[in-house]
Amino acid sequence: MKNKHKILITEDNFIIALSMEEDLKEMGYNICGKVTTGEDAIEAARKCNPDLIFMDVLLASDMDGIEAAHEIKKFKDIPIVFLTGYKDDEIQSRIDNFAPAGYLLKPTGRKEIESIINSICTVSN
Amino acid sequence: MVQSNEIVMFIMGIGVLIFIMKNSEELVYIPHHKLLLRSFYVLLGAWFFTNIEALIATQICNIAEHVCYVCSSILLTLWLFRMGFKKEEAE
Amino acid sequence: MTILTLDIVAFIISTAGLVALLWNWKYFSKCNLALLFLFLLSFTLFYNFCLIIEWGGITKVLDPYENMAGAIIPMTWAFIFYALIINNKNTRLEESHGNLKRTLHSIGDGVIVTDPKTEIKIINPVAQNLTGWNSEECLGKELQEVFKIVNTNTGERVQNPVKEVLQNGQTVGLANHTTLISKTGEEHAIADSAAPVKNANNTLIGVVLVFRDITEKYKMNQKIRKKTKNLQEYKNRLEATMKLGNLAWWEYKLDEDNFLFNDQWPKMLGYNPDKFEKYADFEKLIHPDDHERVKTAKNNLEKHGEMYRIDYRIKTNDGNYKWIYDIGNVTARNSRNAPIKTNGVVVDITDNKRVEERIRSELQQKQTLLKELSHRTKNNMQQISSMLSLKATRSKNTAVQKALDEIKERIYSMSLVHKMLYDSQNLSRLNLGKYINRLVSHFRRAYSKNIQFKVSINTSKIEVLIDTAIPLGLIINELISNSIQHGFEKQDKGEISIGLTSSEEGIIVDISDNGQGLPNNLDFDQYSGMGLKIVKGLVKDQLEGEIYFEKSQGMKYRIIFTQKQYKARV
Repeated sequence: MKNKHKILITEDNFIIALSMEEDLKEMGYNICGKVTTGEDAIEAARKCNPDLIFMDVLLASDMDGIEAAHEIKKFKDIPIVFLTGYKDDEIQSRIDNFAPAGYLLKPTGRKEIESIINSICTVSN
Repeated sequence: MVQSNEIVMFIMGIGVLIFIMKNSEELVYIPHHKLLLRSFYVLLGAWFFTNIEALIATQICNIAEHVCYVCSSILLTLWLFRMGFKKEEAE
Repeated sequence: MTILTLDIVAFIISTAGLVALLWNWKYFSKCNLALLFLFLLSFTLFYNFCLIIEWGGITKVLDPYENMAGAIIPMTWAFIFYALIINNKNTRLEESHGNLKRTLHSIGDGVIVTDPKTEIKIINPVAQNLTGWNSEECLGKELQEVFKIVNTNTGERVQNPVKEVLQNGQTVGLANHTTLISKTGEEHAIADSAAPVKNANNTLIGVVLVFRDITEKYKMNQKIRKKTKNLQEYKNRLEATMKLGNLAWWEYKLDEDNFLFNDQWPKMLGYNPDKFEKYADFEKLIHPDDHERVKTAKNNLEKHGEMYRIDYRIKTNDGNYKWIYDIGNVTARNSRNAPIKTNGVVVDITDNKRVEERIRSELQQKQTLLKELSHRTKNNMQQISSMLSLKATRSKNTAVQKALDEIKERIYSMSLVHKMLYDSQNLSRLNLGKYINRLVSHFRRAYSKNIQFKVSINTSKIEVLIDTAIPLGLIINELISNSIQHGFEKQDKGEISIGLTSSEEGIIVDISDNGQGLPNNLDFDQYSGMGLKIVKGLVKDQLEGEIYFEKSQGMKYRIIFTQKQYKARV
């Protein structure tokens, strides 16, 4: 899973996205895109074909992260990790419905990012 | 001197008077019946006087008798006039 | 001599009577009396004549005739009286007969008189009209041939009351729902009654049937019954609906001081309606705190005709208070335009009020919560800032200290947003002008160098959401610290200007300094120092705006963005 693998970041908060990007780059991954809306995420997924997507649930667009994830799944089965800073029962049930590869609670540290990627790798392997 | 015809007259007159009294209810319906009846009463009076003049107060009774004749005629005539002309007016 | 005069007078008068008789011969002959009177007068005249002659002493030859006349005269009188009586009887009979006929003709009801064999003897014009039979046609016919009656509802033949009268000998009263069918088939609703006619010996000699066309009355009655039924239905419906909606009506006639209301009002409150008669009975149940208000409102309605709309508490039978909404208006005025009648409706809004209360308290709670949140966020940030301070003071490394200080400044610009939100009444919007002013005040204190800060806020009404304020704060912080560190690197003093304007393009923030600007060989777009990278990212990605820079005498930055409509998250 390491090296040359592409990751797509969907996060509307620039600084958090920047921070994640830096962490992932240090871990040796390629960032094929940093988008802020669900629609952009779908397009970016189509174009750059990432191996993993970090998807923020609450986005600044009409389409939220979970909806975008559903759309992406329709054409490609890419593992998606949800990022949520705020959770309630409705969001929780929608996340569970989708059954993502994993989810992280913001604010995330590098350690959490690493461990979740590892767990995904072991699953796929 | 009581004359027989005068008595007869008087008695017949009484008979009529009785008739009048019996039918007094009906007679009331005659228009101006009082005039007619009084005319007869006065006439009866005359006959009364002519009968008793033989007995008492000859002169007075005689005069009374003739006065009664006059009054009776007056009343009868009045009645006739009343009946006749009143009806004419009414018509 | 006098006697003779009297006799002559009598004679003359009798003659006059004769004249009168002859003059009115036609009239007297009508009564068959003419001849009799002629007879009488003739004999009376003759008698008088004889009396005159007797006195004149002329002759005694008329004596026997005189006697005869004397006998005949009273007889004649008798005959006259008798004839007069008979005559009168007949006249009276005829007259009363005529009167009777006329009366019968003028009666507005139909009258038919039959004999005991139900043969028609008399039928008046109204009866002829209603039965459709002519008098000549039906005289002698049996009643049921002419008088055909049926039951209005069933159409069955009904026995005519005459038969009943003949059977019982009693008056038979009006029957209901009888319809008379005329000869031509016309139908009339009638009311009829029949009575026996008895003679002096109490024998039944006939029956008199009286009847009247009551079609109009019948129709009218039907209409009235229907209207009454409709009205009753309407009333029931109204009452039921009002009950359902927990409504009651009231009416107050000012000129009569009469207060009317429906039972629903006392019932609504759990009282017996019988105990309530006037307004005072209700008034005393109003909550003491609401008393004045209600009184004032009622006064305004009655004196000035202002619409009456008020909610107040009223005591129920179990001692609690219900909330009532009372609405009323003037519905009638007198000739001087003063109100004389007011009508209104009363609604139970206790449940509504409860909900209202609950919502209000929940809103209150929410607001308190939001405030708390802002407060805590600010506090947390301060904590972080403090921890950084502690770390900085313990570190000997100036680079570390500088880094930590930079972070502290960034944190400050964010926590200031939360602090201002907490302090203001508005929990989601921030006045941008005020924010910039406060931020700059902080910079003045924070930077030791002799820097002059000029702030010009051209529009004081810009309010931004927290989602805009935070990135903007970071941007401003970044650019200013950049200017201080790099722009005035070689200087001891300088000037930084910050401007805020609003235009059609959006909100414009200008930041400029009179420092040395960027090193000449560096391109702004390529320059990827952390601070400017963050600034560019924040402007483009978060604010979705544009940033322009100019390098004249120092750096000039211009940021343009529009207020985004953020999705409501809370």
